[in-house]
Amino acid sequence: MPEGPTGAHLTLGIETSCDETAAAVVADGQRVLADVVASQAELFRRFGGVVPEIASRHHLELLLPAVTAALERSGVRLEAVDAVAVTQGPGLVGALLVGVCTAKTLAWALDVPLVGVHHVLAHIYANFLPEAPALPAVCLVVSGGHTDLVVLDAAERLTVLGRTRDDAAGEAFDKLAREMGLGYPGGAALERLARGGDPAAVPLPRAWLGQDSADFSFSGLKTAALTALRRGAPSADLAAGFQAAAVEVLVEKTVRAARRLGVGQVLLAGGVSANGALREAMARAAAREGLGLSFPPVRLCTDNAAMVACAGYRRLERGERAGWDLNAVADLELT
Amino acid sequence: MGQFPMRSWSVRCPAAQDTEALGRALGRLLFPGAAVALVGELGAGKTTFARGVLEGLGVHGYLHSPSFSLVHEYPGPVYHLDFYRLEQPQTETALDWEEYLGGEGVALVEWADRCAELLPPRRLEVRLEVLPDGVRRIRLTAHGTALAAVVAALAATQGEPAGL
Repeated sequence: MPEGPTGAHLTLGIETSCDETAAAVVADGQRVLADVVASQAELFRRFGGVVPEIASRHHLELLLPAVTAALERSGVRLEAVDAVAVTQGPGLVGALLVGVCTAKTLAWALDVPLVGVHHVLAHIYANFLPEAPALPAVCLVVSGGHTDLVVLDAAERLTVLGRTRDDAAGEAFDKLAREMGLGYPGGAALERLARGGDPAAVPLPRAWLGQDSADFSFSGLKTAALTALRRGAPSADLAAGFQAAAVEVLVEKTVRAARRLGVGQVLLAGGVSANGALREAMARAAAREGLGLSFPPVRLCTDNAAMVACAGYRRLERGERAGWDLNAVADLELT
Repeated sequence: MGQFPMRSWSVRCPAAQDTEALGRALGRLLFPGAAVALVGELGAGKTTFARGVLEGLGVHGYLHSPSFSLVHEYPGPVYHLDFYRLEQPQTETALDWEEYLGGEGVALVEWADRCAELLPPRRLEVRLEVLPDGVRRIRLTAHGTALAAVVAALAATQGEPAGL
């Protein structure tokens, strides 16, 4: 095997919090040398849904091959790894444990630092590949499981500004898509359908939750969209109207938070940040407000281990090293 | 069912706050080991009701839908589960779910009908139905003596006798 890049600090990242088994090697916390994602989506399509115990078992089967593949693709020998970063939570505890135990074992055997990271924080750090954005920044993390508005200060300390009170944005997209017969998860199919629709044809509510609230709620919008669907609203118009309502609230609350805090940079992250309508609307609003905007490449929007390695590297730089008693935490707090 | 005493009671909730308040009242009455199965179509108010139950149980902080993550764990322990993403009978995983559904904790299960075989026989079923005028009709059916007493107490807190 060829030697790895000399002189670079090499972080091995591991992610097993949900449906994806992922391993990555990142140099100096910014250059992705290899990024391997072994998705279980195909497997679950056969079963017709997620099977948690099978998920844990498959993480176990897929993780070491994923780590080996990441090392091979990056041309890095295992012994050259300088640190191991792993998603500690939140997630299914059985799934998380596979990653945490593997990371602990590797770090202990290699005698290198170990660091545990929060899954949502890792998503934010996808914006630091290959180059760190300006800080402080207001970050909107939107995915199937999360909708969080946070601020990351210049010292990379995180403060939660608001979160969803019910459905995550991506969850509302996926659930409506399933009801519309677009399959599950069907957020991306709903976005495609929306391109041919008139967003004003089916008026849908926006949940602002009070003028200064940074919290989100998507269940009212979801229910209103379902009611419209059952009343025979044209599907392209409904998709467009739903997307416009969700995007408007996400963008406005993010921009308002930046304005209120006097922060000049916005970061998008999470699976829904791959949505073209959200990116476009956020770019327009950022330009209007004179804000910088960053979003990860589409590949790094969904679950991956490169973002975990990056987040771990930056945390280690700040002295946040985990002990050998690091444990998976199903309901890990976002701090 | 039928091997355990059953007790049913239903109530109308005009607004989401009413659904949440009913959940809160129920949460105050639940005991360790209780399983609550929530059933109702998308948008019926399962998560709203569950949020109330969690608050009634003294759980605070970040409460949201577990559809994606399948399980949210809170101190108590209280488990907020969601079978939305599960389609198949989960026979292979029975042991896995027993930790949540048969143990010391209170378990709230959204979309419980998607994998009804996982539910313990002693449970409280909560059916949420959207009426044509948007009002939610919530029907609670207890299977088992202890949960039947909970339903009777809940009906009493709402100022109504629990019919059988």
